[in-house]
Amino acid sequence: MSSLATRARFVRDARLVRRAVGYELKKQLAFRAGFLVREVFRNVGRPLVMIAVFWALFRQDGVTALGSYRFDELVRYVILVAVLQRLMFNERALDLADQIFNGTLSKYLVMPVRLGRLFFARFVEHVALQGAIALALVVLGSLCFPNVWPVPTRPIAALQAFVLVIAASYAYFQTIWLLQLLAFWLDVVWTLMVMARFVVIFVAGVLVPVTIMPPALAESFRWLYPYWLVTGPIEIWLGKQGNRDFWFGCGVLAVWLVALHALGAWTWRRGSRRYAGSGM
Amino acid sequence: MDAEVVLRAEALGKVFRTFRRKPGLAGVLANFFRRDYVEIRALDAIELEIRRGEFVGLIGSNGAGKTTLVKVLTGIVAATSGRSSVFGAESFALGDREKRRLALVMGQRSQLWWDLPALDSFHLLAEIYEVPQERMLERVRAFATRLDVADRLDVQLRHLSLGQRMKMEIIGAFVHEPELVFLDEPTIGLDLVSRETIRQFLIETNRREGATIVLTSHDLEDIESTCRRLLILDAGRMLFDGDLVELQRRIVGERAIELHLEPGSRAWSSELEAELEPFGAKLVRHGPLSLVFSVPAAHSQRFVQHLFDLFTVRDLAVERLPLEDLVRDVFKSRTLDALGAPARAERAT
Repeated sequence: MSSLATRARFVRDARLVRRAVGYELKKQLAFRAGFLVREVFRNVGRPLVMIAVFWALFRQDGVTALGSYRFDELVRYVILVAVLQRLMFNERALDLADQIFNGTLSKYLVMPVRLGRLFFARFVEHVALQGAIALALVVLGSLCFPNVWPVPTRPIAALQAFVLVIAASYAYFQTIWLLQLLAFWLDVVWTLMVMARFVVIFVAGVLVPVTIMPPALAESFRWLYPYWLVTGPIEIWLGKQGNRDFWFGCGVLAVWLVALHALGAWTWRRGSRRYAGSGM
Repeated sequence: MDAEVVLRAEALGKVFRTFRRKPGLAGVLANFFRRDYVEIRALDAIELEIRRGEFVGLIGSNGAGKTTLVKVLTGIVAATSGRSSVFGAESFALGDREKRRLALVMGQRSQLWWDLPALDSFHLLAEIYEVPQERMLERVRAFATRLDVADRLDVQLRHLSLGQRMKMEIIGAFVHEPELVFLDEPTIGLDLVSRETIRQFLIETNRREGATIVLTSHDLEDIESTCRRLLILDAGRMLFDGDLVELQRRIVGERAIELHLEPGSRAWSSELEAELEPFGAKLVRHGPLSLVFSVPAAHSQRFVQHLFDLFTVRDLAVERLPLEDLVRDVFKSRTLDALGAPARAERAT
């Protein structure tokens, strides 16, 4: 394909994604209660529970730190988890498996559009919406709780953290895409996704920072993309990791994204031959 | 000159593989450990050629393979054997160029986005099919007015009635000026008025824009009032492919003419029998003021005119076998040969 045709296709895809993102946002905002519960107040209770658990641990005699974390650092970590985890793609926003099961996927198969483009719009919409909410939380938190709120040690650290989170979130989106494609063969996709989510959350360090886990485990997790969804970016934000770690994270994520993308395309090609368009 | 072939199927077959479910709890347990697979032949050696501008009706009983045929032809599912092509490209590998010339409406599945007003869906479709927004709006307004849903364009699809929704689906299908449109049960569950509106819209669009239309329907009135060519599928095989009128003529060669006479009109008598001969008509029964004749369809019009010369007619009805009866006969006999028509009649192109 000539570069002109490639450029034309890119421009067309970008316009399509932009319009689809607009409609995805419109769908989200159409139901106020649903929007507030799903998009704004989701997971708000968890940081309080985690802080309570850490507080109980630090009350034990002789406990002054967990790994390299003091109690006040863990509180900041938990706050950042609550903020950054918003950008982790919500698997419920992708209904590819349902569409394969009930046959509604058929409509996209006769359209001159790559299916991934339309579904990618859901990822962009998620990042845009949750990014805006996360930004609002950061600004509000910094103003209301200046002593507790975790301020990035370097201005560039906040940007690095966001870049890593968004790239890792996209890798998670690709994982969900891949798992949902298994609906061409299996009817237990949602169970698999729940299992995968738990693994991702654990490896990401949502429950506890990965760096306070046993060193061998912590080191091996650095090679997995979920690490760069929570622990990696937060430690860069807090100054516990630096530029070198950021670039290492970028490299790991690039490899994962390429691999997941290739695997997704391969699975799509194989799976689509099995599609029966049931219910049509 | 023959019009361009837009759709072709050669020895097309589709086999679904499924396991045989055993009944009861013991059967479920047995299935868990061992499964016997069976192959279901949904399509078998289908030969088909559809040319630009044709309006083709596709009928068949439940499970005959109609929807599977549409799915294979449009590239939604892969064929197991044979090949099919749309605009010369293999169905299962259609590129964007071919897909832009294609549209599909599934009566039981929405093509538009459930949570969006129909107009938003049309904007998105315009983006997908690269139709300028002004052109799209112009077409949507014209179609919506014709289909009587112009005031519902900004209502969320989920809040529309079934008929309004289907009209929006049809508008969505024609927004990008497709050259080949598949309509799978577009009138299912609709009231009479909506059905008639949709039929008229399809006829007009087929004539005005030259779009090739393949219509699948269980409602044979849809087929009768819109299509010139008929395909009958049965158990995955093409039972008939030919001219609808030709089929009716071959199988329903006779018309029943029921005549009601004014009091004082000339009564039936045996010397009138000679009047019937030139038309091949026969008297079926008669009463004091009523007569019923059977006559070959080809002569029915001239025979009716002659009856007006013979009698003082109060009322007259010409009836033919409804298509439902015809198709029932076809399925009962499983072959048109038995009814005097070949399985592959000459096609009207």
